[in-house]
Amino acid sequence: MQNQTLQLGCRCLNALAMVILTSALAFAGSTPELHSVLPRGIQRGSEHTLMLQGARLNDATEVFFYGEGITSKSIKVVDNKKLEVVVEVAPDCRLGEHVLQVRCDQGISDFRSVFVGPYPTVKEKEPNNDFAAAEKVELNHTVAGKIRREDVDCFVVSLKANQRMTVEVEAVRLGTFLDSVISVYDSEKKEIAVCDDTELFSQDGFLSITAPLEGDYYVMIRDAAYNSNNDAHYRLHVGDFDRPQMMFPAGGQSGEVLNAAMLERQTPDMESVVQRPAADIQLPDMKQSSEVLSNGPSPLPLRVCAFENFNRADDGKNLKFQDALEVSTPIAINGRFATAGQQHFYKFTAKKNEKLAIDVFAKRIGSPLDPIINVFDEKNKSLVGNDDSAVRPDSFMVFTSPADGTYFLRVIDYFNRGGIDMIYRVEIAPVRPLLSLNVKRIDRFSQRRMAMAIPQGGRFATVLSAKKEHFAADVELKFDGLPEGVTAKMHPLNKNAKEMPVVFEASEDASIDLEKVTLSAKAKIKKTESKEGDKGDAKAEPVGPVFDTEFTLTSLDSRGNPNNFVYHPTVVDKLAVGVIKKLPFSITVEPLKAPLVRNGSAKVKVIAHRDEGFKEKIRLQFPYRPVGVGMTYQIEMKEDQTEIEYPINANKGAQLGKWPFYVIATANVSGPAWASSQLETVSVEEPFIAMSSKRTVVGRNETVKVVCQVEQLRGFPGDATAVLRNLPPHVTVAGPVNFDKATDAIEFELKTNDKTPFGQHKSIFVEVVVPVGEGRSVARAGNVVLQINQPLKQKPAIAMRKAAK
Amino acid sequence: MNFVSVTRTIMASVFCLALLIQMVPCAKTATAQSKSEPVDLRIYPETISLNGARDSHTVIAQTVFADGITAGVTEHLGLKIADEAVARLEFGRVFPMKDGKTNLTVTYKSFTKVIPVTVSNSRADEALSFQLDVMPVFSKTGCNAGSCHGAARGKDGFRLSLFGYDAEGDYFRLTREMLGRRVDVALPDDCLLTNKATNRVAHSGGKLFETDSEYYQVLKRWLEEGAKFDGDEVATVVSIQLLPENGLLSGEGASQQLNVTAHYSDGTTRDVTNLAFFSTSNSDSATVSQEAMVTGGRRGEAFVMARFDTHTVGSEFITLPRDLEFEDQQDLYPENNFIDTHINAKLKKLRIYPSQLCSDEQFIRRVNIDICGQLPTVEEVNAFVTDENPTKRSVLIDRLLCQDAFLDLWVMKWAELLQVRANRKTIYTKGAFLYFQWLREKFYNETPLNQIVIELMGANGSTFDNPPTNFYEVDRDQLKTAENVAQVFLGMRIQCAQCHNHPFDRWTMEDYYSFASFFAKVRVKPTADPREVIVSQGGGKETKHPVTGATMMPKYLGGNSPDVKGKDRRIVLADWIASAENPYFAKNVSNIVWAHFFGRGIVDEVDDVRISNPPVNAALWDALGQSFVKSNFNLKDLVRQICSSRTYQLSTQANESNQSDLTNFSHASLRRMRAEVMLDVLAQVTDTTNKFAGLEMGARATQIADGNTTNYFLKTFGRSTRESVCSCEVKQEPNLSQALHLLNGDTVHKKIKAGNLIGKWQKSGLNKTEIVEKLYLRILSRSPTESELKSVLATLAESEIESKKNSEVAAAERKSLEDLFWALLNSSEFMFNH
Repeated sequence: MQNQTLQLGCRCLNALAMVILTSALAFAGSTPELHSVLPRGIQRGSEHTLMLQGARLNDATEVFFYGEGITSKSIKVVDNKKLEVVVEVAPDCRLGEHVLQVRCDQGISDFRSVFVGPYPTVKEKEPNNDFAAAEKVELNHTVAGKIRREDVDCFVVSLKANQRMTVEVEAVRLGTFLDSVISVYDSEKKEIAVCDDTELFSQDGFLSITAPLEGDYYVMIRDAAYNSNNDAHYRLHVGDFDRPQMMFPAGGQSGEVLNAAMLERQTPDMESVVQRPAADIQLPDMKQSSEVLSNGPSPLPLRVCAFENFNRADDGKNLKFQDALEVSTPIAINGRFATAGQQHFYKFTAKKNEKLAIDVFAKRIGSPLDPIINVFDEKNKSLVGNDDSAVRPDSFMVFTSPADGTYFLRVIDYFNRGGIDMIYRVEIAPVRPLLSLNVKRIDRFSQRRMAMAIPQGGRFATVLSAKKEHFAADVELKFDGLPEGVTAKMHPLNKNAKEMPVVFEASEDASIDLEKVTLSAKAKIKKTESKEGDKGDAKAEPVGPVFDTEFTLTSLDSRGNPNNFVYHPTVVDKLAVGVIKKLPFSITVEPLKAPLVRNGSAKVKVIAHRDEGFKEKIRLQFPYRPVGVGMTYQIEMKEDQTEIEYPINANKGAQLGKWPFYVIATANVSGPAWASSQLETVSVEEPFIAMSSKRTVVGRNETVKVVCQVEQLRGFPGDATAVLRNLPPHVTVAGPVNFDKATDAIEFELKTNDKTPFGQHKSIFVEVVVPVGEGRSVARAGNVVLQINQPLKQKPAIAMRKAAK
Repeated sequence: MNFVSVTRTIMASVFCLALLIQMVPCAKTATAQSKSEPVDLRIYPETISLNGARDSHTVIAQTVFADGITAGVTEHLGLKIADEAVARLEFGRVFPMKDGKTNLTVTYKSFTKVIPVTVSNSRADEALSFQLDVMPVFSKTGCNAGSCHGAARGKDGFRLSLFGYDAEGDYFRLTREMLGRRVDVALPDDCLLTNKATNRVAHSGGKLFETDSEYYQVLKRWLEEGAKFDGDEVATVVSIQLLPENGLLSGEGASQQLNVTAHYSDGTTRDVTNLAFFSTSNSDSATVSQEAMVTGGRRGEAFVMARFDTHTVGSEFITLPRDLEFEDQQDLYPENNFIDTHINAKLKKLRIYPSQLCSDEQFIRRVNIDICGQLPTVEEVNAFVTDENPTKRSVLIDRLLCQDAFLDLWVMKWAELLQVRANRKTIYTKGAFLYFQWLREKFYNETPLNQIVIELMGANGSTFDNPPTNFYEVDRDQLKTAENVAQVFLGMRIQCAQCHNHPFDRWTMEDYYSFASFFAKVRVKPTADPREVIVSQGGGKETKHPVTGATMMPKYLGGNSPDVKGKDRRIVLADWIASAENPYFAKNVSNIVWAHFFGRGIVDEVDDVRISNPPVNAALWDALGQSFVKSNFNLKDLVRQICSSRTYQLSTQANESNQSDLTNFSHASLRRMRAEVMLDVLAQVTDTTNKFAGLEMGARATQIADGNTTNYFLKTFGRSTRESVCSCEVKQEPNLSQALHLLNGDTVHKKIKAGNLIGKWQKSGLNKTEIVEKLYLRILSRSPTESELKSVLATLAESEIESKKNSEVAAAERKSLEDLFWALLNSSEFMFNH
């Protein structure tokens, strides 16, 4: 009973603490959060009020969009957690997902999305779970609804004979996990069409029917296994729009006119496909992929490349290796397996060591094809192949030509299927050196600290993750379009590094503002045009760019089973960098005066500059760690503390070189506020000294000398000192031993007493402090083994033993 | 316990007692006549062929009486060899003397039979064979049994392969593992092999045989001959024969000697009676000694088996009470269809009279629960009972077969066999749901069952687009898939043969891995959706025999090796399984269906078909299978045949002759309703609804798609978790938790309250007698008997007297009637289908 009371008491205390904490966080202020945007979709060409819900939003000053076409006209702060935002959507606004984010005076929120559609929206009203309760919907309207567990929503549409009706759902794309099934019933309640998943939009489906008779037609939507979230939003577009599943060819050369045909499924079982006559499409003048709009609610993907198309006729030939069609790379082949069992061969030439990326588009262009590719040499020997790439089931591989020669690419379908919709697009082009960048996640799924909110006169910092494909070089990064008064401090990205820290600084007078910043990069590579003999003299200097740079940030909200799989990541290609109100604190770190040697340690002195009266705890973290350098995750400065030392250490394998670092601080300023130190450098170097010693044996109450052999690894000026650390209790040693760069052995005199524990002590080490300039380098130079022996027990005399018996 | 519950319990007891009285079987006596004059003498074997100097053969005899009773008379035979220079007799055993032919004359009472004897190779006395002579000794004396050295890790440091599946391995371990200790060719009498077996050296297994025994002499001679392994070609046992094939023993103690003859691949035969291992399926009715003597016990039948090498064969023995009098009364039991013909034939053999037909009330209730998993309504019961149409039972069966509930029940049963559930490793909720939907669609479209099997086993593509592919996602282990296919479609449990030859059946490791090889090429690859995979045929390594390392090519179980080159092996197998000629599939499916309607299969358990578990009525089993094939594997037709039979319509009340019969369907058995049906029925009678995850309100428990969807009630009442294909997944045995849940749990009480039927009836002006009548009809499909009604009304009156005010009377009446409702739902008569 006593325990129970105690537990109860603890619980009450916890609850109280929670209340206090929550009330502190509930105050408006730093680090605002945006959780949801309602309604999930709006019509273009009109004005709407969006309800934004989140936390710490009451100093919101701007709602900004990443794409063109939507502008925020006014913001009304309802309360700390809610904003009402009036937005205007341009009539030519791009359809589909648009990303928005809230800027507050003291922070920048997460980004979330809203969808733009062509039709006016009607809200679903429950109950509408069966035919009898079906809600009337007019054509060319969008129903905004919710599916609860085991919920079915039913709508009725009146159609004339031969009138077309297309239904498309946006559900998983909206960010909630609803694996929808849409079905259409005739007036006799007989199912005439159903769609679960589509290649184009995965879990989101669409279907079209042509009404055989005039009458009421029912549209039903539910979760495929009645297993959705209880609060799953959907947007159901019901109209007479065209809804092509794919186009053929599914891409073309940038700036050219593409003659392409739309393919559409229109029958109940979604099995047979109708191909509409080809029409001309003016392709945009862009480097890479784009999308073309249908007149329906969401876009149809279209590839745009720098190289031309090769469109093969539906001849049913090319079943044999010998009949390969000749193409010259780079090329985009558009093909179709019109009949089952076809194999398509293409012949191309490649130089020795030429690396060609062979990328097959099927699912990505809405095709049901499951391609498998292989490259053969002239002797019909398979060299390399691929079934599924990361974008399943599409195929991708890099083919490195083993010699100058002719090679054969074979494309087949996994199930040898054929049909008008069995289309593919193979792009063969030299590999594209690519640098992909993003902001390293702090949390597995949230967007915490992924927007750069820099306090006036202060700093904020982040770590960028970088992936280099098909090139190896140091890279210099540049942020384009930073707000005025903001600078980004960083070192070049090391050739071998996958992460790099960036510290943003805002001047005192920088105005509170925000920009969506792009990133560009240049390689620092050795001259490639130098002659063979010049290899040794080649200097590192920036040339290029020699690669493409991609920057993306991903919101991982649309998660579901299994394992929090992200079904629809929302991606932006710019970084939100903003200046926020000055914080009542900032921090700086003192530059390290000595290198951090392998097996060594150092202390980073962090100084907090508190405004008068600012008495919050400040927690410090070290978000970027060079390889082999470690430290505790977080240390804390007390309310009145202004200085603290953050210990760091390097292991024996720490990567050598000069590495940037920063310390980030957080304190409660009406919510968690973050400030970074300036960017500093730590030099990781080889140690100066290595020591070794033989096992030393001693008894209790004795004195012994431990002799350490000194290996001078590199010279140093002046005197260094050595001390023994981690000695067992009741062992004393005379003061530090001084030595210099010529010393080859040192001695420590140890004393034991009558309490010194017996046994072997292996964790003793020699710590050496070497003077380097104004600083001192501290390192473990070697281990010492000390054995404290127990005196041998005297065996009792035989007579004694007998007597004892 | 509060006052209310005390009252309730007492009332329940009163009601239950009243109900139980209705169910006490009323025994009916039957008499018959049996005569005891032998009319025939059967001598086994009919010819004797001795090959080699060591060969010998025993002779056994069985007399047959006019009424079919048999008796073993081996020890009373007069034996004489015509030419004693060719063969000699010793202890009733024929031994060779020289090559030639002679006759053995057998006399018993007035019977004389002549058995031709042929002797060949009489001088040949070849060295003993390890596999043909030594290993059978290990098997006979139990050395290589699982409890002894046949255990996976052996016993006391010595291991033999279980039941001798690995001759080479056994030879190696015996002769090479402990050099000079286990075998000693120089001192055969003084090595571990002979010393342990005779317990001259302490042996955990004790003394297995004496030094002068035949078994010892075999081991000794093999050692003396150098303890050699066999050459390349050793004859294998092709089949064994157990004689006599059956026996009808009269009374306890009646006996019959058996004989086992092995037929080898080289054409020779051998009397292996002394090397075969004997067992019985029912030691209560017939025991069998290891000396091959069957002895009768209590009335009943037993299957006596002999195992030699990898072969097991059995003989059917029936024991009847001594001098039982039996009169054939077949005319009194008209046969509705072939089922009755076979059942009656078997019952006649057992001297059993079937029970009488059940009443109309019992029939309409029974058939509604069995076919549709629901109770008949009050109106349906009244209409049926008063219907004068002589074919009304057939009409009712046909009407029920047209209901969706019938299909739902069978979709559920097959969903259990196919393990339709989200296992959250390979199948997620959506996959399970689509799989179930597919199955449901097939049953709703009346797709023949063999067609469903073909579609399932040959399925290719995405688990979402083509849901039967989920069949291969239930377990990605090809061995497990093979085992499941054998168990579900063929009714065979071949799991044992994965590690050793099946001890009670004919399946060897070769059979197992050859069968598994049909699934060697199944390929699974992921898609963009983590819940979905693509199943196809292609790639994959061939199946290897784990002992020999040999590549195993596909071979049907008990059949030949088909040509699979360039074909989808799964489809080849599916075509074989689902063909009309398949010896197992149709019989297996019809047995599963049969078991649903009778509570036990003709082979029971239904998925444990093996030689050592024979059908209780092989002729019926065959006929059902043929009928199923003839109907093009039509489930409805099969159910119609079964339900139309007189056998199905028998009463649960036994007569004197069949009261001990639990296996031959001579009377109907009490069967507790299965969990889903019971919950649905509870909802039906209380006018309430159930709610399950993933199903709309009011959906029935039999419609649950995902095997993981369950609730406390279903779990308690033994719903299948669909975690294995085993028929044992569904538990229909009553237990205490179930009784307590019905008594005190929230299901019954809450449903009565929620449905408020009594209140509604009171409001509509029904008086309490009418309500009691309605309750009985609604729950038990019959009116209360006069004594029940009297007793119930008296109890109701008592509780009403306690009410002080008039206004309380109606409430008290409702309360008492609800108690009656509760008591009826707790009665055995409600819970059991009878």
